[in-house]
Amino acid sequence: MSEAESESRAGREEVWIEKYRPQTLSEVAGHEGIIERLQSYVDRNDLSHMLFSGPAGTGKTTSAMAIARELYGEDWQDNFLELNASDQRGIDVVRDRVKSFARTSFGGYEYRIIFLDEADALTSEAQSALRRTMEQFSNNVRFILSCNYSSQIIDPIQSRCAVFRFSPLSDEAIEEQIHRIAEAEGIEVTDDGVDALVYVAGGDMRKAINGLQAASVTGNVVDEDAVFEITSTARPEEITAMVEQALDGDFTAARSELDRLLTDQGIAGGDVLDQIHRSVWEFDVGDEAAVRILDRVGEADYRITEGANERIQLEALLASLALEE
Amino acid sequence: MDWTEKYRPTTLAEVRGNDKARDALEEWAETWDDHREAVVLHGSPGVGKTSAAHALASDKGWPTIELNASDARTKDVIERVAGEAARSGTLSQGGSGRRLVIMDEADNIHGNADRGGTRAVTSLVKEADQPVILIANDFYEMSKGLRNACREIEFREVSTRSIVPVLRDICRKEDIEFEDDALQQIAEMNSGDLRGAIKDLQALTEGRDSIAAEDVITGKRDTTQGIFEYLDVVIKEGDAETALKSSYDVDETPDDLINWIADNVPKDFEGTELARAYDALARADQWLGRVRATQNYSFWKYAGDNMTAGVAAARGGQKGGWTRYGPPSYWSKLGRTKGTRKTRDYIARQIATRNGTSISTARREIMPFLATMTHHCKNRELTIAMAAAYDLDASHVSFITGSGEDTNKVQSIVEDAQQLRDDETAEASGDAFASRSDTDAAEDVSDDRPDETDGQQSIAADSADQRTESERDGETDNDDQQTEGDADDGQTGLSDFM
Repeated sequence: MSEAESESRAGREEVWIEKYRPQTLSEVAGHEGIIERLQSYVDRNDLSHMLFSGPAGTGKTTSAMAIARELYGEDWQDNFLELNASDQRGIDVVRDRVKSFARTSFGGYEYRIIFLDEADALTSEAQSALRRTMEQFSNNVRFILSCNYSSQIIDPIQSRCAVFRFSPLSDEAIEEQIHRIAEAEGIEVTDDGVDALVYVAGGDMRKAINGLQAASVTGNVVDEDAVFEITSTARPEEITAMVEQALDGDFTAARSELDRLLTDQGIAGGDVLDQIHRSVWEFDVGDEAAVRILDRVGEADYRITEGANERIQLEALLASLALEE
Repeated sequence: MDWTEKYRPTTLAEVRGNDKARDALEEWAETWDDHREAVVLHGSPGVGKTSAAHALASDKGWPTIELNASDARTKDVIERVAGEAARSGTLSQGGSGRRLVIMDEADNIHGNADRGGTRAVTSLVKEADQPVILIANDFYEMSKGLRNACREIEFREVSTRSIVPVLRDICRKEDIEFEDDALQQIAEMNSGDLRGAIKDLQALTEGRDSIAAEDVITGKRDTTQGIFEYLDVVIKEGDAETALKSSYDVDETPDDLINWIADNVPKDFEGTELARAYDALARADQWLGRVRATQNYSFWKYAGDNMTAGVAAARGGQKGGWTRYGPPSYWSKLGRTKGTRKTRDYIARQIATRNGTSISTARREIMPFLATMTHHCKNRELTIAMAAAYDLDASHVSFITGSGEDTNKVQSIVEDAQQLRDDETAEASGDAFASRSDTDAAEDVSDDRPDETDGQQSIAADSADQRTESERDGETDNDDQQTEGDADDGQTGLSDFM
């Protein structure tokens, strides 16, 4: 007990998303098809340029680092340049940093890897500059680009890359990882706690692990309450209750529930919208009404992004629900 | 190692799938001493433009000076390169003392980052005393001055027929057993992009020593749901939630997906169902517009909700039977007219500049009259005068008159127009030399004959439709059928736009 106690306290001084980042490709969760192909590249020490596309927290960066670790072992950090395009965007980053890394000499390896994160944030001019650089240095550098939407990457670059699409992780994959970490850290997670983490994550492993670590700091047992509180997320049933009150025409009750979520629980308006959007199939409405709610949620989201007041937009959304059917 | 680099052709003879362009490039190099023009190679990604340029250099033994978008292409840099090129010409090395200047991505010289670059390139092209090759994806993105200063060679998409043998060669060299069907499918998947096909072959054979047709299918299907199965879910069977969830596995962007759905929904829906479905599609489209306007891609999900769940919800119950779904027809139309729209816009711009009207006025109020007056080049003098006044080339003259671009008639009109322009310049500068256009004009009149028998405008429109049909059947090769003086010349005429 005391040993587990001290171990877990030690663990809390480290960020778990780094501590438990898979070191080898075979440890990367989900994406069996992708991992199999990447593994065969690595086994033959024969990489092409690659484009990883997919939402946050699905393993793009992790896979790139795992490739580097497998190829270069201890020296991986000397042979792996990570650039974040959204921090250092523009044509200069491609020209200068990439070129100097590509040109510097290095011992023993046929090529090095440049990982360009959030490549879709590069301007199209910078992408054009990149495309020729990729060919020019393909003798000694391989590029791995990552992006959320591959359609943001110009065609000539896509044509130069093998494209891998990372989809949101399955609930099972996230659940498994939560159990693994909880065991290694010696913390207790209740079943409803696991369900809550899976819900909060919505396919994003980073969110799940951060949620787990944060929740474990506040108490010895990670349960539903801890997870929802620490991640400022409304419980799915609270959202459903609020929406159903609105659908029944009880606007006052719905509004006071909204008020409680926004003020007492400190949940952001955008997150409430997001949760309504995710829960829509749980509501007791027909398909057409469900689609209309989705569209109406989008409308509120759009107006808030354009600078409208989120409380009024959310209230208007709830009020409009009474009109359906 | 990357196979696209490993198997990059080292001599021009190895450049595949663009024989015409290859020969034109070789001819350009052979006769460079006589004409001293620069050349621009243009075409889609992955068709072999850069490969051809380098292969040429190695054939001729010309050292290359390369200048691409990953180098800063400011005025200074370009002038330095031009200077280097000119200097090395005098230090006769390798006998000829030639140096080949290759400038990649010439359609991509940007105002801000490459200040003064565009003008410097134009002057490099005009003044460098060395052969210059410019490479571009989009010819019409290049400035007009640059376009006019260069000879043009178009690289077309590489046909499946030409891609397959390249893949076969690579398989033999890499000791990979293959089924022809597998290579055929890879080639088709990449429609025209040879580099993409080689990339796919490498990815699909990674870690194995054979490739069969099934491998290609499973390679694609693992990760993505087929679009046709998906259309079945949305249009025939699935409820709203299923339709939405299965859209996550379809490998199409919402911008493309909406066209797939909109084009196929009317095949199964009618009446109120159709109206409700289109209402949902219209809302989806509105979201796509907001994404474009704000560049906020998180709104894509609302577009997806409407076009998938919305369309599925508009249907009352399930539909049976089998429907032949097809790709959005507007795509093939767009592909067909893209070049034509550029031609139209160029002409309108020229007219607008010269006449001091707006471009849209030129298009609406002037071009239709010009088209009627110069129909099939019957009024030859007027056609020449028009071509001279608005600086039109053969494709432009062909567009307005409806006569084939490669016909002698159009070619001679363009030559005479050039002559006329030169004469005018000479007169304007008070120079009384050079004047011989009258005899030239007389010789060419006989070329007009075959055309005058038809003269019906409707034929041009019909032929455009027929062409769409044949494109759908996969015959895009119109080159061979180019006939002289035939009304059915495959040109999309001006009438399509009025």
